[in-house]
Amino acid sequence: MIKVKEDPTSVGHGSTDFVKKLYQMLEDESYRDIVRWTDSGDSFVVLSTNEFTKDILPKHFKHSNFASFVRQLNKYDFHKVKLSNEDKQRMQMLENGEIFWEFKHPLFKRNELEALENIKRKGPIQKKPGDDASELAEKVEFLTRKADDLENELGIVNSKYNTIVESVLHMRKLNDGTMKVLDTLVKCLHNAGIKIPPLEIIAPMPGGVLPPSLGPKFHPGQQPHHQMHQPQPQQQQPQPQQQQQQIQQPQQQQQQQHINFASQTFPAQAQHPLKSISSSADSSYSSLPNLRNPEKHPNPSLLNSTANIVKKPSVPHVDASQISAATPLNAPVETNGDTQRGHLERPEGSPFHVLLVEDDNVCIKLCQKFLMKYGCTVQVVTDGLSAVDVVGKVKFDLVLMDIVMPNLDGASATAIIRNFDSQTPIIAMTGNIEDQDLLTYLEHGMTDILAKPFTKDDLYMMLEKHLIKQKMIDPLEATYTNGDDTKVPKDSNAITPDPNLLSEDLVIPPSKRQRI
Amino acid sequence: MANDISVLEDSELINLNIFTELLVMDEDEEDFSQGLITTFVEQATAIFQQIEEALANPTKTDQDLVNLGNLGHYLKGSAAALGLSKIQYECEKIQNFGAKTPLDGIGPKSLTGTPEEINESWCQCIQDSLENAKEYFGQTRKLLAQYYGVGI
Repeated sequence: MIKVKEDPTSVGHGSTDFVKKLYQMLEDESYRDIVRWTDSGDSFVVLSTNEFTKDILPKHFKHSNFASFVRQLNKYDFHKVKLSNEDKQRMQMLENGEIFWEFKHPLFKRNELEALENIKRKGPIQKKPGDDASELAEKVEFLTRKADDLENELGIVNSKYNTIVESVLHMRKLNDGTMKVLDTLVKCLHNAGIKIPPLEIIAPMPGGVLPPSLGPKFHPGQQPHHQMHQPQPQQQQPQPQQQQQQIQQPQQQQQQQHINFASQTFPAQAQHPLKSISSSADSSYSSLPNLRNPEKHPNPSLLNSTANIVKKPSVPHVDASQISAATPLNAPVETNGDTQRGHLERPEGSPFHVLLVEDDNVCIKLCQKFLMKYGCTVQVVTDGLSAVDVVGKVKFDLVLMDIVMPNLDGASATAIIRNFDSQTPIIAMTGNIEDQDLLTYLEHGMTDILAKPFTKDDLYMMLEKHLIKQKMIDPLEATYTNGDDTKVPKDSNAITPDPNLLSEDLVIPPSKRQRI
Repeated sequence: MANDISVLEDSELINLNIFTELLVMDEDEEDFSQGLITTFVEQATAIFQQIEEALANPTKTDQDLVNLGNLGHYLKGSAAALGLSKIQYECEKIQNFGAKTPLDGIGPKSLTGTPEEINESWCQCIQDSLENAKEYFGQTRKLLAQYYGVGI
């Protein structure tokens, strides 16, 4: 048996081990009848596959699988030699007809041990396509997993976002409650003749100053001390601005406006509590309308909307309460508490109460004008968050919702509103009227879409479509009568317009009469 | 001559169908339309300034472009509501460019280079539209001042 010369470069390679083993095996003369070099010495034959498989393979290759042996040969680029009949005779083909196998490799020759080093597995080349495919499959799998992960994360972020929006709304409610409590306190202190210093920074309430009777009133608000320290004004920000002329710094503007307001009347308790409180301390009791019945003021911040609740001035038969509802802007000082409260709720006798959610002043002015001309009362808010808040408190016949807005976009706001109000028609006002956008809006719960820019007629058609439809659905609920200033509506949420008010000469613009 | 609609008729700046609808509102409330225009002028002045400030930034991020697009969108709505068609169109271009989308085939001539360079190309387009919008804005103001017979 010839010992294969160790080539240091091949050590550890392993790639030629098989070839060397094969060479060694062939050099073993004892296998002559089973496997041997051909006479030419450039190929070898397996004469008896049975015996070769059973006896020799296990010794040299540690297996007994002829097919594996052949596969291995193929990997090293050995080829089976097709034998002509002549060859077969020459090879003294065995009588039992057993097929013998001859294999050949251009570099695999007897006595040419050095050449063995150059016989390489062709594996890598052959395997390459397979590798690519599996690599791609891995990548696909990886990307799929990643996409799934991202989708999950998106879901989580979405639910977090919704939770945050909800908690912001909750905070606003709490803050509103706190402001009511504060109002009550201020009133009582004032009545007790206690001068309240200007509260530029909210100091903890000195308990000793409080009359004991105030205790219970103080408690209903949840943790008023803590609430009062919360910097809520930012979130209260989007109060409707009829007079606001610039948009880029609405909050500053609002401050300015509210300070001015506070010196005349008190629409802005929630927004700038300190200023309001300090002014109210110096004011007469009667000018603190919302203090009289704090529990009836679900949202003091809505007092701000005074300026935006406007009744069509030219309507001829408006009753007294409507007039007073329409005039507080002009005569803020005379405004009494009942009228103020009316603004938190639906204006009495309003045939159509519409919420306009829009952040663009030009559009607000114009749209508001159109709506008033139609005979609607209008409340304006300038972002989605406020819209959610207001819709939860006041019954509207229709909501006109812009899409692109600060704080919360119109589509998301609508989705939230739909959680608690599935009835009120919400109309998207949007310049994006791609099919995909429209689909998204409808999926979010929008009732209809009004493409921007729209004309007066576009808007009126939309109003007719949805307001009239509503009237048809529940005309019987219109049990509410107007004209009695002292009458309190049974349920502010159930108010639908008095059918009498719908008589044409009252609210329907002349141009609309024939159509209704 | 004040309140003569003919001075507006020949101009392509203003969509008269929309604008006359505003004028009808003056019957109910004197100077309503003029008030709207005043509001728009203040708004547009502020928005133009914001766009210019954003464009003055030496490096433009994707977020900058988004902001620019939003400003365009905002002013587009106001201009459209008043029928100021030409300003509306330029604002729509700004809105689209902010989203890196051409409008009516108008957009950067080439979009090669680093992401920053590409953003810069879009900003260049926004700059052009801004100049146009400001030009139309000036003309519109002049025209409306002539119409109302007061400085606008």
